[in-house]
Amino acid sequence: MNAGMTNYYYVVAFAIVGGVFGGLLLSVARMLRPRKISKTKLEAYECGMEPFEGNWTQYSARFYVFALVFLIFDVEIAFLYPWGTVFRDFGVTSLIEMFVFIGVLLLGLVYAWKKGVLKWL
Amino acid sequence: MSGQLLAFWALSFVILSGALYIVMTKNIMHAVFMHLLTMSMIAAVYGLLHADFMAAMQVLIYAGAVTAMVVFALMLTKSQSRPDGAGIAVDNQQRGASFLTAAGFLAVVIYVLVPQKWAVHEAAPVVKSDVAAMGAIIFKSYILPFEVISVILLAALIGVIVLARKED
Repeated sequence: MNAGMTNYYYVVAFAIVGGVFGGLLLSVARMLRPRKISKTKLEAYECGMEPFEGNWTQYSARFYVFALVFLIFDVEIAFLYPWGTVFRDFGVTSLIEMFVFIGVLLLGLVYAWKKGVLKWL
Repeated sequence: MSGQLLAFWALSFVILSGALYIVMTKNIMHAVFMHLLTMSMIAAVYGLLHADFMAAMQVLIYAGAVTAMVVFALMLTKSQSRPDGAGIAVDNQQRGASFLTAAGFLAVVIYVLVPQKWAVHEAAPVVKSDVAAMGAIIFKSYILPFEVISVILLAALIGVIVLARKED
């Protein structure tokens, strides 16, 4: 076993201590706290207006676009990691490459903007 | 047993229990959060294998973006839970057929994998950081494919907008 392998004992120890510590605190709190459930306590808000419908309402499909646009730019971020490691060596060339890459994606963002899908309802 | 192996077994236990919970829970929101946990633990397995880039991507894309997308997708759907709070039905009449299918698949996997003689070779020296090597390859030899990726992502982006506009 080399030195690199033994380092994982720290990871395991960290996971065990973290799990036991968190579980211990939660179970102590569970034993100590009073347990009186009433209908009012289970409502979404403690005070203010009483909710008049279920908490699961159907959202407009427009919001899904935000999630998908986020996903696409998240994938773009994935390419910034390897780019960041070689940027110092490759200099301006890689800078231009990345600007072209992001520029093409920004076209899509501009298209979305112009089509008005980014407008919050 | 090395710490790495120990950590692997611990992580596998969490991953498999999380995946089981996703398909067995009656509360679909709990399933999403367990999906988040499962994906993060898979990232930890990548970390164990010294694949730090894969671990980062697993967290960034699967644990982050895909889970967020599933949450948004759930918000679009009608509530599946019944008014009495009983949750969604996770069982139906096709239980026997699905059990047979799963058992058959398991039999095939065992039939193929168990007689296999796995070649074990000496562990290759761990490269300090594979991200730099990958960056050098992408930004020196494969510039055109890299730029084409942006066009593919652009196509996906425009497709999303066109489809979403149609809904309105």
